[in-house]
Amino acid sequence: MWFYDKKTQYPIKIKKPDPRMAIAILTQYGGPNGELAASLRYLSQRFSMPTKEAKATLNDIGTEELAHLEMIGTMVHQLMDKVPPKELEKLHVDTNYVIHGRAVYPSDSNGVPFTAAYIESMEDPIANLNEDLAAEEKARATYDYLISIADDPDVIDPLRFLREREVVHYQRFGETLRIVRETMGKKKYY
Amino acid sequence: MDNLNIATVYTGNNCTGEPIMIPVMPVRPELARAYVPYQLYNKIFSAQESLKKGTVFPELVK
Repeated sequence: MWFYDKKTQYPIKIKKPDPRMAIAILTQYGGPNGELAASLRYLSQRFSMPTKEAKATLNDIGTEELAHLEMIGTMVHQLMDKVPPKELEKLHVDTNYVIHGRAVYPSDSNGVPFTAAYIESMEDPIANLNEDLAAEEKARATYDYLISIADDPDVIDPLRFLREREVVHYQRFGETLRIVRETMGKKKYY
Repeated sequence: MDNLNIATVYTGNNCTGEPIMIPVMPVRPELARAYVPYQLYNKIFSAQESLKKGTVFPELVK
């Protein structure tokens, strides 16, 4: 069960529209290393975790990723909102416009729609947790790329926040991997 | 060695539940295994600073 807070995890108030940046950020909505993939990955893998710590970690992080999805959706919306179609054409984001208008659609920046093929969920918790560590680094790298092409502090600040969350999640999955190994193994690993 | 530091991991929410004492890094690490050290809890940022940084833990700002 979930409770909803009617606010974003980090405040987002972008004053200057930037449709090209919107499309770049869109990959973190429905792309391979995006927040939707992250959330579904962790919330699905949760069921085959062998310890309550591991279940709780995946549940909590999977939930937080949904809050990140909301942040990314808000950013894409604010960056695209009310930009005239002719302007979108000039900025070469008109192909996106003629398919979805200015809506937020779960795809990557090239328009490739979201697919569950981006994620895995296996019965083996060690395999899952190693995937999760990789996923956090891939998302962190994506945020580094996005930050490197952004110039508006209203855009950079939330991106920095999201990037740092990937670092924290990496640490938590690393700790979870050790808890799971040490619980599963008959002998202690230390 | 720092590796021999002992971390306390709480099994419940918000530092409740049964605490597990565990070395920060394995004393005898095995081949073909990935290890991340357990975090030792020290000072934390203020709420305002934490929101800005994205974490309450200064040692995790990277």
